[in-house]
Amino acid sequence: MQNEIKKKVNLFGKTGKIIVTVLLVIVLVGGAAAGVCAVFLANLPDDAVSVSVSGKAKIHMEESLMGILVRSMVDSFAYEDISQPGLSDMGDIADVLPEDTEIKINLSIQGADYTSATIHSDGETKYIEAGTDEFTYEIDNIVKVIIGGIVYIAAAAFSLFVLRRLFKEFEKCDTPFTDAVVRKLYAFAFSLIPVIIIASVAESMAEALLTPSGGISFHLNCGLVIAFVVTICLCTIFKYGTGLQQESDETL
Amino acid sequence: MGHIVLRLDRVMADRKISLNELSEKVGVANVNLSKIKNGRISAIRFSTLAAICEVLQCQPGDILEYERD
Repeated sequence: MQNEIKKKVNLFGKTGKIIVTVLLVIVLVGGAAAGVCAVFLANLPDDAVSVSVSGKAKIHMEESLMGILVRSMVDSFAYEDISQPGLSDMGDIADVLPEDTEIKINLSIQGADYTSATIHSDGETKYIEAGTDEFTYEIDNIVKVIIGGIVYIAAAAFSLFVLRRLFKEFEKCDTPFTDAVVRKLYAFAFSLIPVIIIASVAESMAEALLTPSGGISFHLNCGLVIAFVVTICLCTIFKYGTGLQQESDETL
Repeated sequence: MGHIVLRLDRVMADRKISLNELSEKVGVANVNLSKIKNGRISAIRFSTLAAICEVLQCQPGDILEYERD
C-alpha cells in the first residue's frame, strides 16, 4: 500500500511538472511577444498612430423620477456653477439646468466620466445626453504599460519555474514529507510576493495611463494573496509531517 | 540521561543467524535492521520486538540494554 501511495505522489509530481512546463512556455512566449510589440511601438514616430476615443451616454426618465433615478444610476453628479447652496435633490436640479444647451457637468457612470451634457424635454420625459472628453492613447503610455506587463510576466515565470522544481521533487521522492519539499514549498510561497506587488503596480499604472480619468488607485490581486497564505499553511503542515516521517523512519 | 541500545548482533551471533535470515523471518526489511548498527533507530514497535524475540528465542531484556551517558 505504501508503494501505491508513493506511485500516486510520483505521478502527481510528473503530471504537475508537465502542466507547469506548458504554462511556463506559454508565459515566456507571451512575454517575448509583448517585448517585440513594445520595441516595435517604441520605434514608431510619435505621430505614426493616434487613437482617440470618446463615449456617449443617454439617460431618459420621467421628470418626476429624475432625482431618484439619477441618484441610483450614477456614481456622482455635479453641475458646475450651481449657485443654490445645499442643493441635493436631483428634482431641484432638473428645474435649474438649462435645456437644449450643452453644459459642463461631472457625471460618473460605471467608472466613465462624462463632462458635457445636453438636456431635452419631451412632454414629461427628460433626456440627458452626456459625452466624455476625447481621450487619446499615447504610444509612450502604451509602451510603458506593456513594459509593466513584461515585468509581471517575468515575475510570474519565475514563480512557475519554482513551482516546477517542487513538482519535480514530488516526482522523484519516496515520501512527500522531506526537508527538500518543505524548502521548495517555502520558495514557491515567497516567489508569489513579487508577483503580487508587481501585479498591483502594473494594474495601477495601466489605469493611470490608459483611462480618461487618469487617477491612480491601489489594486490588490486577492487570489494571489490567498494562494500565498494557503501555501504558507501547507509549508507548516509539511514541516510537521517531515518530523513525523523522521520518527517513523527511525522506528523499527 | 542515558540511552537504550539494541544488542541484536550479540544475540544473532549466539544463535548463529544472519541479518538476511532474521529480516526474512521477522518481516522487516534488511535495510531497516541494518540501521540498528548505525544508531539510526530511535524507537521499536512492540510487534517488531515480539517478532524478533520469537525468532531469536530470547527475552526483550536480552536485546535491550540501558547505557548511561
